[in-house]
Amino acid sequence: MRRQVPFIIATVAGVLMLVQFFVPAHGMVRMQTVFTLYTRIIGGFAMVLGVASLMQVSWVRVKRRADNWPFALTTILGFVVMFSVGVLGGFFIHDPTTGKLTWSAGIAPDKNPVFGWLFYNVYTTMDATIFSLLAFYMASAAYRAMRARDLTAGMLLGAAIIVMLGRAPLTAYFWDMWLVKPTDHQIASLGEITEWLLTYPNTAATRALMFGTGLAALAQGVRILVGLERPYMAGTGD
Amino acid sequence: MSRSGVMCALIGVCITAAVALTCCASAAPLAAVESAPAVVSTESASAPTPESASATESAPATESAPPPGPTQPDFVEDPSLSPPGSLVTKDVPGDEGGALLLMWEPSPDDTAPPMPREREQRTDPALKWLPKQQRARELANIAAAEARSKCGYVVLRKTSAESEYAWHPSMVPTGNPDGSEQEDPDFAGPETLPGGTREFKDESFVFLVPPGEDSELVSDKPPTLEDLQKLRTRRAKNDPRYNTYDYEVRFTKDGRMSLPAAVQGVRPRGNLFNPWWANMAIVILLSGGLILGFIYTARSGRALYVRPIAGLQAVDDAVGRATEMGRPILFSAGFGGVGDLSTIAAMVVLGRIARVAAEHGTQIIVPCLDPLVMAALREVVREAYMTAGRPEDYREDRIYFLTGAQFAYAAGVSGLIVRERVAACFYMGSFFAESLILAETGAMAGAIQIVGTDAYTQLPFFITACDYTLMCEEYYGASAYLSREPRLLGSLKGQDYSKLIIAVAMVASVILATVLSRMGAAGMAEFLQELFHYRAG
Repeated sequence: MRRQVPFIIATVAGVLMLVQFFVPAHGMVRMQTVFTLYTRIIGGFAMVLGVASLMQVSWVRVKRRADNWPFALTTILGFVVMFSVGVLGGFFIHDPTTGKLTWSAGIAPDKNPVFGWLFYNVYTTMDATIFSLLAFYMASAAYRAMRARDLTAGMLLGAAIIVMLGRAPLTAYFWDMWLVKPTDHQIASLGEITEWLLTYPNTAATRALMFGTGLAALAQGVRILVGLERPYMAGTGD
Repeated sequence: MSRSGVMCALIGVCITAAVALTCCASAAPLAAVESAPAVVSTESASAPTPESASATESAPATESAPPPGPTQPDFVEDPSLSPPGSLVTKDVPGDEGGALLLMWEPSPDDTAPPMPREREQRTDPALKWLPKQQRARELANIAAAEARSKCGYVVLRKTSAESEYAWHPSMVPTGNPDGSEQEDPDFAGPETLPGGTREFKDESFVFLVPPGEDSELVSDKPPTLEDLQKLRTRRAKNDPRYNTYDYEVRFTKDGRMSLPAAVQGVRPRGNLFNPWWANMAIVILLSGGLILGFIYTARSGRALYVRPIAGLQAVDDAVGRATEMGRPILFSAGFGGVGDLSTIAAMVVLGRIARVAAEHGTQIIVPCLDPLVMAALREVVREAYMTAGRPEDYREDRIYFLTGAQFAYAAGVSGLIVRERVAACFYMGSFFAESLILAETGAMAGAIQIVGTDAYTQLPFFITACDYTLMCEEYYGASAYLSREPRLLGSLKGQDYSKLIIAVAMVASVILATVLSRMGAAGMAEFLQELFHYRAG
């Protein structure tokens, strides 16, 4: 019974969702909305579980003075500060006429000045910093990728150089000036070559991957629906 | 396929029908709109009548009346202008029942060229490099647009229960204690269309949702029951389940409008099947049938060949390497939610990796981005340790929620890789811009890295920085490959044959469509194109 009930629930829900995709009637659309709502509600409760897990792991590290425990302490402090400012601070509004903080039934976080300041000046800044690092990682990855070890790697290198130069305004300008105009457009512009590479070979390869992924996802869905794979029961089948 | 699987599929179909019927019936009709007239088929739309025309006649707008009343027209009625003819309505197929198509013959006074069916790509004809033909076409387009702007049509709608068409929204209370009013936000006003228009798709219908879901806070005080009732009564006018509608279309020119062409008692209908997605339904049925067929065939024990996948063969080696080095392994399930197929596939692969790690006595670290995924992965790893006979080695604190933010997660995992000096990294699931940050950090730390993802846009980064990459369908096939369970391998065979059939159909259709269009059979060629056409929404 412990194995059959979750299986029946999963199969019934799966079939329902599959059918509703093709049935646009109002009842089916409502059903999908309601199911999505349930998922969001469960997700909200799960967030409490997640935060509790993170705090527990961090607290144990601090308590035991494990390696790199100051990082764990920073996590706890960050959580406490943002939580306090976001939740408790949300109940006070700065009244500009009296210059005092007044109690309110709760305001949106974006109207909470302290929370907003911390979010935009601390979190967003650090987030952008990590994102910016991507440029350096790209440079190092490109250096490793662009080595013509064999024919296919050489083709990759050639295509990459063309696209890079085609996207750079200066090289595209000189290509046009030295090659395209003197030959009266007998030679394609660098931009056109770049577009051709991106539109045809690149799109064809991408679609082939998407095509395979779609069918593989369908096969995975069938395996789950008929119970050959039961990851929701932390197992892989019978 | 197991017998219980078939049973459950059948139960699923039955419950689908039951839930659909329940949901259709569950939207409680309001007392205010319960007396809606009986259903009138859209095909029964009547021709314009003198009564309907005279009913809408009213005094012309004057400048001395600042706030126009709801029934005060924006144009002066001029019987000398010819009205549009043959107004008919048609239900839009394959929708929830929230759209109705109106089509009419143009007024004889409408000299504007017909509206193009598709949006035109406009280019400035003043550009010097523009070819002559294109410049002429652009100039003609501009002239046509100017002609269309000089006249037009106005489409009005009312419920059959209402006596007059409303041109302007009524004033309704804002809900504030000061008794202030605002224009009705749910008013579906007259639609003004340019000349040359022959049809209009009315999509302004709104379905009422159960009480409570549509509540909105309009003031500091919570709305009273009476406020909510008024709001729902107002909104019910736009719900096609409780009303039929009358339409009138008038031709307008220079501030004047013709007599109307009208239809009465029509409404859109919800459809039980979306015909635009019939091709997808056929592919799913065909492929699903093939996959089920091969799963059933595989039960006979016939050996099935699956090509070696280097990334999956290397899983055991990677865990073994970590064991020899005495370092932990890291597993990331990506950015998908617990319901995403890529995350489900990650769970299956994690089960295998965790079992091998448990057998070797190697620690596994699983930082998660989603609390629900964390809960599921904990169960997967716990079961793997139990299966390996090492439940005492399972450490729940190694599978934890790290953060829900993308780059914070990338920073956290990168820090983990460096600090914990992990020997092997497994990235399985959906990844986005952070993929290269994770993969490059792992490569710099000297970890052996195996990736499985369906995010094809990130594949170049992973291929560059990682040792093994399972691309898209290889990733989804990982569970079958790792388990070697015949029925799972059978599903891979079914999937491959589906792919073959669809690929052959696509190539054959392309060739056939090309040949047919060359031979002048454009209709057949278009039909073949439609076979593979996907319409979003």
